[in-house]
Amino acid sequence: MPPIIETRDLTKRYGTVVALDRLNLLIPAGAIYGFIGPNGAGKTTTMRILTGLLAATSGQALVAGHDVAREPMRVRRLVGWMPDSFGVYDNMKVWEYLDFFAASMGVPALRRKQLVTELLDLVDLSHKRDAYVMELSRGMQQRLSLARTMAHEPQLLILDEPASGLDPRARIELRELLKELRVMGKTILISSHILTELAEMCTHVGIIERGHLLVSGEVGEVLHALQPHKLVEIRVLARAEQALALLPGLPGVRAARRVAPLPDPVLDPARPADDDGPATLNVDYVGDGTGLSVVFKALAASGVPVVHFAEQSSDLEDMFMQVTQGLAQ
Amino acid sequence: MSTFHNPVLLKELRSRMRGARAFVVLTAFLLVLAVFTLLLYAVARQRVGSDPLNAGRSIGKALFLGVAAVALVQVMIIVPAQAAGAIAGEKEHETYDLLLATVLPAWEIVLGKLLAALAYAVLLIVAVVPFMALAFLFGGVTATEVLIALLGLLATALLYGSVGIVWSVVSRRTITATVLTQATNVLMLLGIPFLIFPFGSLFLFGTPQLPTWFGFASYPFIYGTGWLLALHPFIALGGAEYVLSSGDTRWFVPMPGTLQAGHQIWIPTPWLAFVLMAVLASALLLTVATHLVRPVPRNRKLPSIK
Ligand SMILES: Nc1ncnc2c1ncn2[C@@H]1O[C@H](COP(=O)(O)OP(=O)(O)O)[C@@H](O)[C@H]1O
Ligand SMILES: [Mg+2]
Repeated sequence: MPPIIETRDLTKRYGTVVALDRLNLLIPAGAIYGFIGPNGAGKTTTMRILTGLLAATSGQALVAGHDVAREPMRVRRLVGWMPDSFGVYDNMKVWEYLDFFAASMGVPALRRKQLVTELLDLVDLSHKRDAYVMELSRGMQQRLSLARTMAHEPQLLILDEPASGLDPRARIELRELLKELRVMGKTILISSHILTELAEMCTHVGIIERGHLLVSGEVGEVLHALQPHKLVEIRVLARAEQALALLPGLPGVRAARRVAPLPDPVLDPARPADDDGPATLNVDYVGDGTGLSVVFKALAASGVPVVHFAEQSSDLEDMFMQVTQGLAQ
Repeated sequence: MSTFHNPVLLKELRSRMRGARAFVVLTAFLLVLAVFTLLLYAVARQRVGSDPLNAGRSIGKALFLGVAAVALVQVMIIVPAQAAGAIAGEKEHETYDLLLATVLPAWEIVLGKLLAALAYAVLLIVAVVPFMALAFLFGGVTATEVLIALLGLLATALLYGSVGIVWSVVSRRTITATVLTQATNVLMLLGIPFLIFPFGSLFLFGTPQLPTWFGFASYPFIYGTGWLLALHPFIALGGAEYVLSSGDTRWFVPMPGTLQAGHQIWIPTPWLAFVLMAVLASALLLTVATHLVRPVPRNRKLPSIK
């Protein structure tokens, strides 16, 4: 089975602006792919090329093995696209909106009636069936928009910043909806410039900046690849100095330092500088779990009273900052 | 088949006929017609006072001409205005790209939009029928004249609607499309009459000596000019009325000036020429429009008609 999305050296120039620079994207079927990058990175450009609305300058874009430029109609049937703006018509009811787009996608009239009911049910808008589209709240419009993208039951959903402009509650509802879609077997390409919006719902992530794909892959893999450095937090009841002397000599430890600064002997004469009370240490560690247990054993064996030894979870946010900072410098 | 299943047409009909706008426009249209009819009737009565024998006929004729002219002007304003918003409106509502991302071919979008504007025109034209019937009751007007007047209104709607569609595809905003459309129509109304000079000279002099232009003459040139004149609703339909009221109901007539010359050229009678030209020009305009339907760049950085 071909990947649902594949781009080969996809390049797009607007005059002198290079919006996409030899982008090679590979998204397997069934993934929820978080396409992350700051504003102007090229996310919308990529998505518009994939829906056939924009022609690439060079390179190729394939959806389920079909070239977007050569078989545009075929690709449109496979893709449900939600742009970063919500298109509303005056004087149009919610059910008519879905019926119209289903009809425009070639869904026969007989099927449409039932389909509209199903879609409204899915996005929890059945009670708004006869309301005017213009009068819906932003969150409801967004859900209606999502229902529209599914009007022809496509395999792939391309959602351009669907969470932007939504209040937290609507955002949670959207997230729940996307999980449901994943269960239904849809592949979803979803973009955002805010990482936390996508953090927990994606199976895959790609980070794009200035038209370059910096990293791409399964969330776990990407995290791993980006984070050889682990931050380990150690709390000791005493003998912090001894631990700090010992740690740098252990395999994999790059640096160790005390987190809470030492009490100042001038301002706080009650406590001596060499106070040997409880302390928190941070260790920058490179290596796997087995190596880390060696570090723990060595500390314990030397008599340091360790009460807490934990790898800090690094999240997508850190990763994003790390990657994009690297490029900005 | 696909015309009647055209989703764009269905959508337009649903939402256009809803809401107060369609109702308000139709009411205004009828009010204008009614006021003019009353005024015309008053004036016509006064004028025929001295000739009671032919009073009915003259009043009927005056009413018919007045109603036809007022309806024509209104159709020429309302229909292109409707058409101008057709596709530019989609851009304003940010639904244009959504439309283009469907599997609807461009021609179906264009045709759906045009038919929706025409459906509206048919509504207006049907509303004219009672007024024409009134004129018919007075006498002095034949059923043929009435039918051809209605057909002429429909052809005008088609032609002017198509102009509106082209500008609607090109423009980003309805207001721009509307201005460009009305400007084009005014230009056509004012510009085409200038062509009457070469053509008119034929009428006036009606001799075998045809005028020569830049060394080449003559029939093809005059013939072409005639076809262009046929694009002017007032000239073409006015000419049609002139021919019809003289009792000539032939579809094809010899070209003026060629009768005496011995080698006759048969040309369609004005109303037929107008309908043919309207259909031809619309087909051409709609083909152009279809080819111009393509996604708009999102950023407004690129130069383009705003
Ligand atoms: N129509 C256009 N004309 C010129 N430049 C454009 C156009 N559309 C996008 N760009 C440029 O291409 C780059 C990528 O834009 P875009 O794909 O919209 O980014 P994103 O969706 O990630 O915010 C930006 O630098 C943007 O200014
Ligand atoms: Mg964008």
